[in-house]
Amino acid sequence: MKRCVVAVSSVTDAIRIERLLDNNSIKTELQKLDPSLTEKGCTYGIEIPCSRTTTTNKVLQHTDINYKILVI
Amino acid sequence: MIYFDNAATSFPKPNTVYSEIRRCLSKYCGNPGRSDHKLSLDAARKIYSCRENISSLYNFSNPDAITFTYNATYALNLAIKARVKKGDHILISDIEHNAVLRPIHKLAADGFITFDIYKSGSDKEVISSINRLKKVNTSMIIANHYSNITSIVLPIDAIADYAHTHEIKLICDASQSSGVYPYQLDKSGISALCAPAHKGLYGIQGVGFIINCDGVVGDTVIEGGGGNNSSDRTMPAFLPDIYEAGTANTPGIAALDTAVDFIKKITVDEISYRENLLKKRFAEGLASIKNIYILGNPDGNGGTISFCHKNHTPADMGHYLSQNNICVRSGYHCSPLAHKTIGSGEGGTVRASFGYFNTDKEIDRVLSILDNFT
Repeated sequence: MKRCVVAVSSVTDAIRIERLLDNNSIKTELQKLDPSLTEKGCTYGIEIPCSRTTTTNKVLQHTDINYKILVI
Repeated sequence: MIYFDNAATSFPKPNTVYSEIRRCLSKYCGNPGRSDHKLSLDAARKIYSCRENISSLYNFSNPDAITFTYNATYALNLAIKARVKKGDHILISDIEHNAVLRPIHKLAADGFITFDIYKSGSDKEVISSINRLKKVNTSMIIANHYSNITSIVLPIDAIADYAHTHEIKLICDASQSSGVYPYQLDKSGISALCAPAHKGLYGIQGVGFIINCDGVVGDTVIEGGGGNNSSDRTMPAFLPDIYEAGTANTPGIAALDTAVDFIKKITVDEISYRENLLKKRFAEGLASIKNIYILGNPDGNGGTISFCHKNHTPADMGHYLSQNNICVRSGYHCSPLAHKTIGSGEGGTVRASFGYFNTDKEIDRVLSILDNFT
């Protein structure tokens, strides 16, 4: 089954995103990602419902966080 | 026992600090930012909560720009070395602690920088001294906001304005002022503020931090694992990860988070007011004791006072007080520059430094014991 994950470079950014999305009533699950998914290895991701990717982008585009939404 | 050594480390701590350390160690002390399990994630969340809490206390809007270190000395070394370039000229004050003097001296001895020492005093005197010493290559001013041996206070806002106007970085050593000075970092020209957790913030030893107001991502001093970007041989080039190699002191940071809650509840203004009252009472009492004299400025802000006896060394007086279960600190307090500034003799001074939990009764008791020191 397809999963949608917001991938970031640090756990600090992951927690920031977790809080921002929680505040916008988007269900999240913080998790460590398979290191092969990113160029530089170990990282964290925030799983979101795939139906909420557009809203998630709207929330995060106003921040300075570098992120990528992966469909895995 | 009476504890007047709060400038070295505050004691006691708020009860909530003790209980949070126990709760952390028993409930959520995984390695933050390393794993997928609840203990690791909860530890990372607690550290982030502390970043937010510190940001709020210092009126600073970017929690990610806070770097945790292991003490203020480490923070100051890092803040300086991340920003300095070969050939720079640096200005430090005449009340700097060895946490600044020694790294600056080393950088100069290695031929990396040159430096000069500006005078403390009134706003006008400080700015005038800085202006006289400034060179075309002056890149950084370092200011120990509150002295650790007496109540000399540097005019940090005036220095920040000067630094901002002249495009010079300002590093603020807030080791003694944190918890008693109402910082407004979003509005100030401070480039980086360094502080320890275990003094006026009522946290524990083993934690310090830099608030990187200028967001500078410079050179690293320590490299290693941080739990992310593991395939990359270089440190992540962003805050806070670039400066946080190795496992964090999670119980210490959790304690700091709780300690900051305590400070916010009491308020910085109230703690400062209380410490100043205690110091005033002590200073007035000392003035009436034969053969004891005060050095430096007892009237400035901050709960610290230095004094000496005409007929005994500071070490002897410190030992006498220790024998009477009174905790003070004698000697140079790692601040030879400041002792030179206030005119201490050989042997330095005895320092009494007050905290929120001290009382008038304790002040009177210590004065009475000092009155019997012949």
